Amino acid sequence: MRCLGWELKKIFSMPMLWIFLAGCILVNGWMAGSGVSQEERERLVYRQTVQEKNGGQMVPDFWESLAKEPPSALREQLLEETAGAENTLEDLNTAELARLYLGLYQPGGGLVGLLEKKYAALQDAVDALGGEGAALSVYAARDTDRQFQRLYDGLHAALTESAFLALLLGIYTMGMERLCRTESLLLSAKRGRKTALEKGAAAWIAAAGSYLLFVGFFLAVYGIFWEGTFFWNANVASQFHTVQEAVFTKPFLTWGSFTLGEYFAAQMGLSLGLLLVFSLMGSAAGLWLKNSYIAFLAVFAFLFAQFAAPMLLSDAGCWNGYIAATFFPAVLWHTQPLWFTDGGISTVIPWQESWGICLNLVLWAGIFLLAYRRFRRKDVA
Amino acid sequence: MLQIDNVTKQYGKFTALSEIDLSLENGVYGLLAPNGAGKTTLLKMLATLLFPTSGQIRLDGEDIFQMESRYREKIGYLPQEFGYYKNNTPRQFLRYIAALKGIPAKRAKLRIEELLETVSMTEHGDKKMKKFSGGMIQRIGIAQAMLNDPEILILDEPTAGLDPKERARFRNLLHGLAENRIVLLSTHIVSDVETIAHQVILLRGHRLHACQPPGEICRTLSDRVFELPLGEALPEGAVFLSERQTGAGAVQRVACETAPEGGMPVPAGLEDVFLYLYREEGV
Repeated sequence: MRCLGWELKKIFSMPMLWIFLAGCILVNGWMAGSGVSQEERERLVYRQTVQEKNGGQMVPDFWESLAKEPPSALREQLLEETAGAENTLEDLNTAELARLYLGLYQPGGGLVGLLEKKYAALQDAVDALGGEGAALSVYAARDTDRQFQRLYDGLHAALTESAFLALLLGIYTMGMERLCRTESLLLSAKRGRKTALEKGAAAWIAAAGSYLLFVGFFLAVYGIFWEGTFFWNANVASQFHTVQEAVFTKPFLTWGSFTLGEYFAAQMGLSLGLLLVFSLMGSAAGLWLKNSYIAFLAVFAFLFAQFAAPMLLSDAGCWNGYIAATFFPAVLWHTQPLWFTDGGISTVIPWQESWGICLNLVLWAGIFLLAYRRFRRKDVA
Repeated sequence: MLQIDNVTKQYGKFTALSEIDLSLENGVYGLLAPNGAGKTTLLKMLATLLFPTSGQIRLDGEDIFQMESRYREKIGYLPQEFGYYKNNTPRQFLRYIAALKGIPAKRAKLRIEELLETVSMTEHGDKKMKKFSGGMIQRIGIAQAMLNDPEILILDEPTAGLDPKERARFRNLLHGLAENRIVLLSTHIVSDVETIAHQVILLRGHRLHACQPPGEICRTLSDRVFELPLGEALPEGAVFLSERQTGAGAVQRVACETAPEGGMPVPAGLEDVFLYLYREEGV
């Protein structure tokens, strides 16, 4: 544990890290505070306050209570936006979604069967959401998509920045002793080559800590500029929350019922898992390749290839390859907006983001351990 | 006892060391050879940084690579290129190395103060190492190697780049450290070794040439070293060793079987043996 503490100390003593953290915080803060519309903010504050008093479900009691609110343009607008709302998930047929996707993208190979199976399984989840009236959640009414997107953008930015940091730190910590010419000293000490384990752990801890800092700071700034209009208790499957596909709009369908707070917590938890994947990837490359610069280039070339793979494979009609590519870490990062949802054509099984990250954790932990095992028998120049 | 049994190290087709056999007990061993002879290779194997291609290295009968951390906790190593973290102070740096060596924090704190005192660096203990001279850095290097009070101290060219004063200080320090442990000191500076080593290990052609006390090594050239004025023609078979200035002018030292004309016999020193032995290696 002491050695882990020292490795963290070494990471946080790098001036470049603090410059990077400050830069990210500034960018995220700007994102949180930009595009503030006084009108929209007033609407959101009103909608949140009303729900705190009268409940957040569009049921007869809600409208009765809303009608008793002091008359105002904001009240009228909310009444108008929520008027006649029905439980849209109660009669939703997910097989129709499958047909839409299959018609739009015309996939082949095993993908057809997997998509049909996925949407058949989704029916149970949608029925459950319908049963509990998730679609009747007021959320932010017609401001829902914008509000969600703003919050989500902060989350995605934090993950992107931290993932980059996790990769870089994974590579750097493994090679820094060569750069400082302290490798011989460290590896001939009692702890020896086992310091690679502490270095890998320190890289992830630093990246995870940075992620939490970025998210925390973003939410704090957002809360200030948008007067705390988070709507944490709203259901993300509200009928006002939609996903825009190429030629159609569909509801935001999750595999389980999530409030916005639960959804964000789940996103953050899984993001920490994905950060560990990236950290393991960087550490494995740093251990395997002697030169940190080459490791950096190799990792980023590999990630770019992962990112491009689904598009290239689908264009080439290699649908079985496409299925495998949807599990790549870079693709999982890219599809973060679709986590815990049906995922359209970007996912092939229920809860793919969760299974994908678990699979990658096992795979990259294995690759890291192989690299570590090789390192333990490798000559140190 | 540290036993090096028939150890060979190859890098592809290149043989860095071939069939080295050595038995080391407490005392100071000077590993003397020109650059590229394999000194650092041997020391790095003893520090478990390199793995022998064949052969074994054993401590009290047990293979050091099987022992892993149990062996490494008994060694102190000062590498040829001693790196450090420039923004660290000596105390910070030594605390880190102590953590790597598994020394409990409280004991490490006391030990660090003792060692800073030993290497005369107490007053510089809280200054950043990037401001230190080469000699000061080497002293911290010795201190870190001694943190765990090692049974085996491995020093790779510890006096390279040091001025005469620092080299003398280092030799004095080593005298004090050499009790009750194996000290293996590699150098190509003969004077560093002849005063402190009780055994000199010579490598030649990537093989072990000798492991003997300095006196016995010097006796190999006994009655065969002569000085004569510089410029005098050398007899056939004589080997030029070195030249030096005397009050009477420049003289050359040569090694040959019979006394050359005008030549004065002089006692053979370790440097003479070194120059004679490695004459074909461009020394």
